[in-house]
Amino acid sequence: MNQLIERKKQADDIVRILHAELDISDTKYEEAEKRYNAVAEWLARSESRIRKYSPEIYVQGSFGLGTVIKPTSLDGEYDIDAVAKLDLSAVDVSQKELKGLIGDEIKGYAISQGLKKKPKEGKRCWTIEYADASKFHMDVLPSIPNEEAFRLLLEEKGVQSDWTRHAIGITDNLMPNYAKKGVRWPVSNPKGYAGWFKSQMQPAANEIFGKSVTLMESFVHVEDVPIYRIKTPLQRVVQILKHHRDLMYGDRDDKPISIIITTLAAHAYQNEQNILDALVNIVKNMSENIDDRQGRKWIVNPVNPLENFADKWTLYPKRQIEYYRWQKALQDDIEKLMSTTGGFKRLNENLQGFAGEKLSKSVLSKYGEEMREKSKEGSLMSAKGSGILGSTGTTVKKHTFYGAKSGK
Amino acid sequence: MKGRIIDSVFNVKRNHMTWIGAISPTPISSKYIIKIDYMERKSPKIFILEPTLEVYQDRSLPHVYDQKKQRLCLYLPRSGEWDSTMNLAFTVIPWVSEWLLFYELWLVTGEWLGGGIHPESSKKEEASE
Repeated sequence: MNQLIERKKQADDIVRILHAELDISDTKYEEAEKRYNAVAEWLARSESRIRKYSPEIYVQGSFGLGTVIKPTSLDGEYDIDAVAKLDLSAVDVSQKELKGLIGDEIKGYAISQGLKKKPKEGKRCWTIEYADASKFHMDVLPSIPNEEAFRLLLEEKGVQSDWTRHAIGITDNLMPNYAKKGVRWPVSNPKGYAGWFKSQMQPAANEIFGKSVTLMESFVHVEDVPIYRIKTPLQRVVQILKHHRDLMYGDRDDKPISIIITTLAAHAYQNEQNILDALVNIVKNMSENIDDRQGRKWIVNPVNPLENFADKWTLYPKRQIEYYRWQKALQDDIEKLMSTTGGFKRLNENLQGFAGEKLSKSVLSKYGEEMREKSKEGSLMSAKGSGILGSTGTTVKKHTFYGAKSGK
Repeated sequence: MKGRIIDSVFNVKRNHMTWIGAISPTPISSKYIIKIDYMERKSPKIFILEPTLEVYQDRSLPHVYDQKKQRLCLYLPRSGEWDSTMNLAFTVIPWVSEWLLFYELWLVTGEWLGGGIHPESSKKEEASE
């Protein structure tokens, strides 16, 4: 029996169980989908003042990438990020007007649903608070199509991108031209980003699809499968990293932001099929995709060469320091996980960075349950020489532990 | 038994066999020194010689016949789970590994996840204590 292989298998089981504890159910994704579809229907209803602009709603952010994690705090909520796009141009309407048009309909929606809280206006979004047991709130981002203008902008700056399709113009109430017509709007491309993210894991997604009887029975092409149902190791690692970050930073302003974590992880992912391999390799290599440009750090948006996800690092140098400190903590925690000796007590300590106290115990409990199931089925083996339990050696025969109850 | 385990001591007197060896239940675990005392026609007695086992908070060790001597209960007596025709190496040794695995997990979680029965009650414990 190769000890190294058994060790790796055990670490892999632990990481797999840890991920399962962080993950949300498909039902939760479906619930989110129902919510933004309901908003879409409202925007397009016959009495809607924006019906004539062919309103479209689509999801973005972690619900759009399949990387949502359970909220870390007890009263934490799920953030659904949705784009609301109207078929208007920057000549027809100012950012302020668009924000108002959509805001009015959103406010009407909240009243129609009997929501206790009024929608909140943010710098770029309207936030709907659902105050029910679902613990959702939805950030709706008003936008207009912006492909042409974006392409022109890139040409002007002498750069190009393969991902200009689906570029949108968004509103920002701190911009000086916020109330003017015929000006350049801030640009974004969440659909493009999702497309890029998917392309980084396409081979892994294809393999998972091909091996899944359930998925192949329900869908003809892998492209038809909702992104949250595929769950590649990349998606799972992003979830684990976000949770590690949450444990370390809570709500602090200087925490590494999710778009940076997601983008760097997606760059580093090599389509590993095994979650432990993916975790180890991504943590090792993710910082390599941070560029140095004339003394400033650049994490370029893969679908917009003009956007730097690390631009705030110049304004707030602490954030750059914190990113690298978080990286070091990640490396150390991986090292601890992979080289534990001294039993499960030690493993529990070494899992703290990735899991926290309560979750760590829960993970080990579930691991114990899995081992018991294996033993009951007769698939647990005890290796010759060391007695190590795993997949080689003598089968552990059926037996019942007996003897005194553990008391005080 | 002799050829089965390395680093072990094997001692046979007339109808009494003692075996001492090191077992590690999982790749991350430390080594435990165990002793199997087998008297012909009697049930084997299994002890953890080293280390002195820690306990969860202030509880006592579960599934042992004797706390101080650290003698393990691995199977139901007279249930047929073990009888004298069985090969110790193939039955008891793997059970010790399993006991040690669940012991280590009990130390962290306070739950005995290996299932089992207690003599006072006939209630079967499933996932937890």
